[in-house]
Amino acid sequence: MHEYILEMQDIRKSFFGVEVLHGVSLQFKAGEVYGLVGENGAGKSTLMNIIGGVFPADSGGMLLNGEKYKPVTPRDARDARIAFIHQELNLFSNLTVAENLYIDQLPKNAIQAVDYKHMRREGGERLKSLGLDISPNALVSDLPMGIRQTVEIAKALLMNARIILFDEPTTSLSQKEKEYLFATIRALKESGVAVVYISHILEDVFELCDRVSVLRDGALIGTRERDELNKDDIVSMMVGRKLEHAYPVVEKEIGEVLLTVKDVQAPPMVKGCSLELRRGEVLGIFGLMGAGRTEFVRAVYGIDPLKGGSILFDGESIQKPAPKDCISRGIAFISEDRRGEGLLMPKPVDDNLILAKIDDIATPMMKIVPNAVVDKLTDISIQELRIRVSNKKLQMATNLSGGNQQKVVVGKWLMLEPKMLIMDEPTRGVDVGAKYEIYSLILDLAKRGSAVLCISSEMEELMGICDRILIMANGRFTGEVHKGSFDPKTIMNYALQGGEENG
Amino acid sequence: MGKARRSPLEFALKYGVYTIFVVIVIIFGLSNKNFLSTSNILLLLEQSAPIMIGVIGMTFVMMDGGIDISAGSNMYLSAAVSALLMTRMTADGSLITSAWQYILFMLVSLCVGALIGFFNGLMISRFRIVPFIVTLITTSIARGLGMFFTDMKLIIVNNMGFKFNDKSFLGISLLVYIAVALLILFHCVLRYTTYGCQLKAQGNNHEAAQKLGINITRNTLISYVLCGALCGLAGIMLAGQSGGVPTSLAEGYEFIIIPSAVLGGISLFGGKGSILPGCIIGNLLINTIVNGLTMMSANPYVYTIVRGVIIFIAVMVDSLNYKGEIR
Repeated sequence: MHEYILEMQDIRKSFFGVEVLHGVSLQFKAGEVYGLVGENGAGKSTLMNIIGGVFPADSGGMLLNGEKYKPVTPRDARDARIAFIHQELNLFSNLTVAENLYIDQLPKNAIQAVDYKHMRREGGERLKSLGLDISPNALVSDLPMGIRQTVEIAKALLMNARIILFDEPTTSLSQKEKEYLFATIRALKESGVAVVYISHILEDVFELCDRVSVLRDGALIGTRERDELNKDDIVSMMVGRKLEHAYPVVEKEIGEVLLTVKDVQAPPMVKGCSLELRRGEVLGIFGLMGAGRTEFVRAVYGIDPLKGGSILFDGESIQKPAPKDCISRGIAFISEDRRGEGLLMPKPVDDNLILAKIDDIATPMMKIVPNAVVDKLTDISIQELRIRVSNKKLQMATNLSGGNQQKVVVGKWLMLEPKMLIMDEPTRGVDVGAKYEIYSLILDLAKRGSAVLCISSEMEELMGICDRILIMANGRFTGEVHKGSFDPKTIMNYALQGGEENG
Repeated sequence: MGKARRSPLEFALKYGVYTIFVVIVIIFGLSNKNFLSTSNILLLLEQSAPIMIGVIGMTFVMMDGGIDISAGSNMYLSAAVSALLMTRMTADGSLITSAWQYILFMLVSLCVGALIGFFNGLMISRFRIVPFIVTLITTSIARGLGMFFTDMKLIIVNNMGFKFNDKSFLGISLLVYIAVALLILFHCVLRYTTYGCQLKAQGNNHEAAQKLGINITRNTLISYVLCGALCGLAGIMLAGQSGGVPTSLAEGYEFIIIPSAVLGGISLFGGKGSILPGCIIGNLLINTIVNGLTMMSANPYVYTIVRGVIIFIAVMVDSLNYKGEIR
């Protein structure tokens, strides 16, 4: 028997030429719960996906019980008895619980037919022995989310997993379900299973884990044993990154209140949020994944249904927000999903740029769009925003770099001269140089008197450009920090508060 | 927990078809005394048999969330190739007499169909082309090939002895026995094999199936091959029924087969339904309506209108009932 059940040695992984894991080495012991924490994008999920065989590592190796382990498909991981419980569940809603438990290894009876009786009986017993009151005949589509998760765990147990990876398992669980999950994990540990537990909720990690490692920007920062765990220590390890790039400095004036949002609710993610936004102000919303940031702005903008609360914009009350209405009032929204929602990917740059403006420039009667005007406006936009494009009519949005794509999206909305701009993850997948230019665009817009609401999971980016940061956790604003008193630890502590409220 | 709450729509989809079927049988039965006669019921079953075999194949494809528009053309090409072979082999004027020869020609047709299905499946599973487009292309190619081979001529198989209307057992046509046997066989394939269970699962969520290590490419390919093979078999059966292979054989039959499956509770969005009774009821309903209208000597143009309305309602109910993401 080896000391470590699984050793990861110097794992490296790149996506699209950007290295996201810079040589990480971890060791997992049997009968131990191993916690993995880090900010969004620190590389935790990537690491787990490599163990689970979802994609291979570029270099580095893994030893399973001292033997080489090189999974190519999820099936290899399963054959090695490694179970992976994903953040989003891998269940088939059209099948019963019993069928889901056995779907990748269906039991056969004497005549080689799939043995439903056996599945129902064994699956039912297995569920009962786990203390779960679920009928094996229930359709998964009829089960609430929390129960579905326990079905997924039951499935991992059914294959006698030696290592079970949990990726943010508690996001959709109620308190009672969570306690139950923890009890199950402890029982697993007793029986000698190695558990790897990824979570944002530090309280949970401290309660559960024997060892905790912190990842930041794809590198292992440090590992702590259970008795030397200390929240301050972990938080500073999570955020302790130096400012990598400078931020543009723009002198601007903050004017009167433009937007007042009171107690906005959009269940289940947004549980009552209020804020005020002034002209010329850049307001940041920080929060960890699943905090409800995106859901909040989507509700305010009317993309998702609003279930309570009031919105006052520019002196007028918005009863039922709708994107079209918001645009005509002068609010622009830049989605976090650039490829899916922000751009027409297979269309050329100029078509993308003119899209929001098209109604304004069309001739009044026949609604014909004059090409000359389109040409002029897009040329100005490309020049002003310094979008690197060789031929705006031939080059498709797909073929641009992330930074240039984002500039096209920003340029599209700037043409409307919006009174307020909402940006969700404005620099995701954007290289450093282009980031600076996008920050400049945001600040210039604010200087001209527009209000900017900026959502990001990159704390330092918000600290660099915002006048004020609101921190969101578990569907509520848990703190507010003003420019001058920005401090990563304070912000991170606010962001982690959702867990305390839960627990 | 887990109390099944069914929406009224879901209820309507599940039992509505049966109710409509019974009501229609009663209406036709009352308005025409011959409608419920033994000979008419037997005729109805015999007419339904080949299409029903096509519906079985389509069920596999639709279970995966796919669609096969080429079913009708596939039937034609398969039947045409087999019938051409028949004319060559019986060129000396001899009749087909032994059961083995019957089986041989059915196998030929089945294999041609399977080949077309293999092409469809390969394009869709391996090269990830949209099923609708791939099978639309094969629709055109298959019928074109058939016309090319046959020189646009009607091939008569009747005079070679290849006909089914005199082949019966206990007064029931041989075709009905074949259809029933295949229904039972493929019901078991879909329900009691690993392939069938995993196909149903992947139809619900391809991504999750792939993460679990289910070979979704292979399963998709198999479903199209099965569909093609069964359509090929149905093609030669149609030829044996009518006594010949005209260039219009089975033209537009995909628009009977697909709605039959949908009416039988097999969702266009994948992962839902079963062969028994799904493949029987929808097809029987459509054929009963056409048969009843014929007996009432309705205007033949009315058939297509009525059929269109039924299809529209069936597909609409299926879409309204679908809760997931539109692919």
